[in-house]
Amino acid sequence: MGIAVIGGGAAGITAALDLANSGYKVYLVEKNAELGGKMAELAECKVGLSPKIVEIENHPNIELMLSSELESLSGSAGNFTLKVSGTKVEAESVILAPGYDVFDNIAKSYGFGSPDVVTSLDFEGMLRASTASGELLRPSDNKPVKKIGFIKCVGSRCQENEICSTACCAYTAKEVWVLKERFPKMDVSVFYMDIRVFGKDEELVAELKDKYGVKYIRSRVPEVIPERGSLKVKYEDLKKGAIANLDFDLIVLAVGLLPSKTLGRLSEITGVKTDEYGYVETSITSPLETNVPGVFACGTATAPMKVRESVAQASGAALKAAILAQRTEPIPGQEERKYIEVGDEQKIGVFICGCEGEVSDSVDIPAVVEQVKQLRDVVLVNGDTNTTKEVLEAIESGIVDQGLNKIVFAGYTPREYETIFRDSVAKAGLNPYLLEFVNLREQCAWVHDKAEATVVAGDMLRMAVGRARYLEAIQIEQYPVIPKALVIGGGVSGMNAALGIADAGYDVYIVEKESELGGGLRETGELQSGEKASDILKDLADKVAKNKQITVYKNAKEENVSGRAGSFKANIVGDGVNEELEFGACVIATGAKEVAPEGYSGNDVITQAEFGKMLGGTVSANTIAMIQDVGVGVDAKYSSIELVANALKAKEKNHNVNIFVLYKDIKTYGKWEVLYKEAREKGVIFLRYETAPKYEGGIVSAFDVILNDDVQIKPDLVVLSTPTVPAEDNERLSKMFKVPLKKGFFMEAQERPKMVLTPVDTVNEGVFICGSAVYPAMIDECMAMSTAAASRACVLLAKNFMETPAVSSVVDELICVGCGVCVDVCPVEAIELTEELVPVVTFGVATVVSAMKKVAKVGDGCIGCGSCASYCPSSAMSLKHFRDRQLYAQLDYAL
Amino acid sequence: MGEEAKEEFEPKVVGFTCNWCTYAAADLAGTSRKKYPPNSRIIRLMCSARLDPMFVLKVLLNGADGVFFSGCHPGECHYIKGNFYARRRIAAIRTILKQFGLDDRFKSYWISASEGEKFANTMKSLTEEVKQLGPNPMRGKII
Repeated sequence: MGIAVIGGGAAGITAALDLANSGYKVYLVEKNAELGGKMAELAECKVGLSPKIVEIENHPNIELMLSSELESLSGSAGNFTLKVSGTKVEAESVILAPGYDVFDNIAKSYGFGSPDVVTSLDFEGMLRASTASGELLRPSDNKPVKKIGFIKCVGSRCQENEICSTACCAYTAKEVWVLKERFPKMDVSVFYMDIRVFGKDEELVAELKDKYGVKYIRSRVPEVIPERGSLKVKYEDLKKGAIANLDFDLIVLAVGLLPSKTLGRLSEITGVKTDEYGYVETSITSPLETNVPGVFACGTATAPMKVRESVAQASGAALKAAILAQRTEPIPGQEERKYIEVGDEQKIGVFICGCEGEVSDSVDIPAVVEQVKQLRDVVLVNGDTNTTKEVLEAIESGIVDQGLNKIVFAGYTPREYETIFRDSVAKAGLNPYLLEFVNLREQCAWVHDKAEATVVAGDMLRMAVGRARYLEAIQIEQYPVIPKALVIGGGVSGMNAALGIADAGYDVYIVEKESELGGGLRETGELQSGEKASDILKDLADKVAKNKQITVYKNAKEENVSGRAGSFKANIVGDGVNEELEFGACVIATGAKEVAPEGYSGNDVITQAEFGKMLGGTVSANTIAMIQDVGVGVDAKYSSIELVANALKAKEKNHNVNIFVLYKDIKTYGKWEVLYKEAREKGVIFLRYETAPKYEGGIVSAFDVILNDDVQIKPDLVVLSTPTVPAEDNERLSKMFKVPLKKGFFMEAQERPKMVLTPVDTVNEGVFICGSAVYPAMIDECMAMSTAAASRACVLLAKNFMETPAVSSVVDELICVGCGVCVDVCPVEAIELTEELVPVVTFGVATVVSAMKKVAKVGDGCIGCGSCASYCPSSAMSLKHFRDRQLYAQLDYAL
Repeated sequence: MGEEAKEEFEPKVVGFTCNWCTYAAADLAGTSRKKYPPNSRIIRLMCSARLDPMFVLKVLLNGADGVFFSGCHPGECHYIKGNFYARRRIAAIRTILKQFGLDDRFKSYWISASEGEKFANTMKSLTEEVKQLGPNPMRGKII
């Protein structure tokens, strides 16, 4: 049996790969003829998603069912029978990832219907076309666009679609960034109601405003009037308090998200319940489970969200589905591999891929082939392949049938495709480090004109062939994976991650620095959704206590972390404990910390967290002033939601209470928008400020930018949004686990700028992050992210062995003089000086004897930066795969 | 050298970039189809710390008209602090190159993964600057 994944977009692809890579059979069902879903339509995203699609297409554990649809589902968890376009599929569990559709009932008042008013999805297509041509042309008359207006919240936060689509603010920012990177002189204005972004997107918006000169104009646009040759946007100029006009060449409507049109039918077939907005009904504590046991949902099927949250949910759903299934397939890369012996004879094979026109349109491949044929040691040049699949097959047959012992591949960037190609070379029986990449697409074909590109391509290939001659087979050693995990932090995220890993069958250690589990949620009363935080905590803590595979260390800290993915070691030090633990993967879930706000003081000043608790009893205040974003720490993702939820509860308790909210941006993402609307309906007064309000002598004074006037409130109670800061320990953990921080929060690994397809992975393989350690997140997100981290950890723990990193430093003991420079320049302290009995050359005489001598020794921690190799005064240290002679060969041929 | 010959001079430049920042920026410039002059050949290193001063000397003594190095912004290194080591080296390399009168031909930059536009612009300005300097006097001389 296996697991059926319905939907082949970003979420479906992620879930399928996590499952297939841990040994499960996957049926991936996609209604279109190609994988990629909506993400493949986005200008920048397709390039980032492509390597994953290639991986799926070549994956032995995935049965790809394209142009197929789910027709029926019967049976129960652990034993489902599906009919997919007439084919019977048996599966133990099902993941629904049908994605979204965009709002299409756009009001005429936006000028929609004019060819120059486009939706954001259409604009992605225009951006892609502009990429090839270098120009952005107006659809109506093909004249270059100089001035663009973006209008946000079209088809979201409106009558037809009440809720906030969450993703639009961020995707608009990204579109604007791509646009400004490509056309720096473009005049860009963005009309918005609230800027609902957090974390890194918040930085992006700030950068767009300050560095790129993008105008963010706060106004809900009532009308766009197409006039001859331009589009007039009417808006409210808040500073002047009057209606104003601006003319644009092109208008982009940031359209809202709706549940996929296929979801209704999927819900009928599977019996999965949907909510009043048409999304799969899930709960705040189990965001991935549906009402049908064994059927899970992820991504935009559950709520509107960004790619980052979508793929996190997908990884999480993969683990939930895997727990119900049997592992039946071998895990890729875990088979015994024997490589052919490479003798002295060089047999270099060069493969130049046309990359479906992406290279062959600019580079004259036949001409380059002729040049390369002239090079010494080149025995085969193939310039006929056009797709990844074709070139991989050609390389394999070149190794197997023609005995090639060095491969040069020219085409895609090595940054994303190296793993796939190395794997393929290894399968054919050649040491994977005898492969050299030439980045012909990204760094040649796409950036130079045709005649130039061909010249550059010739040079690049010559350099690569030169280097290939000096490539050497790197002995890769295997070491066993320790099937245990360490979870740092015993809050909601930590406990949930631990339970996920334990449910998958592995032992887990939780290390909590405090005397009890629970973390930040212990300070919370009732959640926005009405559940009591204490109930959620109790439920999790009970499950942890009952689970025999989980060991909890309280009042403890981890020290002396060493090792690498699959085999780490650390000391756990605490109250009467000092144990050395071994584990294969680590999940960091240190959470965030709420701190006391600064700048406002008085007995009647409290935080939202305190107010939330107060709401459990009696509230005597008649007039309450709530101040948002008080300038300390970061704005937690839930802070606006907490605020409106608390305001509503206070109104419910006493409908005569006056509540004034002083805010900058109300960020009620997704379905929480409804609370914001309700709060306004119930009479909560929202006042928007730009300069921080003051509280002096019992009076809150602020300048309301909508009234364009000063306001003064005399409250009985002032409630401040609780500022959130990163956990104190992050700095120490960052160094120990080699995971960089940004503004004190842990950073995820990023394959492409501003694209997060691996939200819980870090640059240090085997170390995962989740929950508020990444950004202050809501409970449902913490639950999804921590399950995702558990899932990623389990993909690693499922392996029997890992391979030592190939790119690492080695010391030639004969030459090493033991000066210790390498010890000083190693950023991870992986080198030490030892005194050993080693061969030495005495008095310049060629006779070699052994003697005690100080030599450098490279330890397990080496990360392969090459610092030691370039600093070593006697060239005793070298970095494998980047040895001096390999680089010299490359640069000799550069000229 | 006559005016005409100088106009036709197309310099040869060799660049060293780290894999995580500048090499990624060059990829991004590609994805965004940012055209730039075809004069530079890039050698990928994993970290800027791998930059050996010998590489720079060798490139220039081989006759390249320019050589550049670019890595992550200081403080953003994938290998924690590799680019700080690189920064120290750059200062040392300049001192050495001064002796040969070649220091103008060595440029260094910090370009992060999201700065595709900056990478393309840097390639343009770099090519211009090297063009102004004219051919490397070392070209053709065997040392």
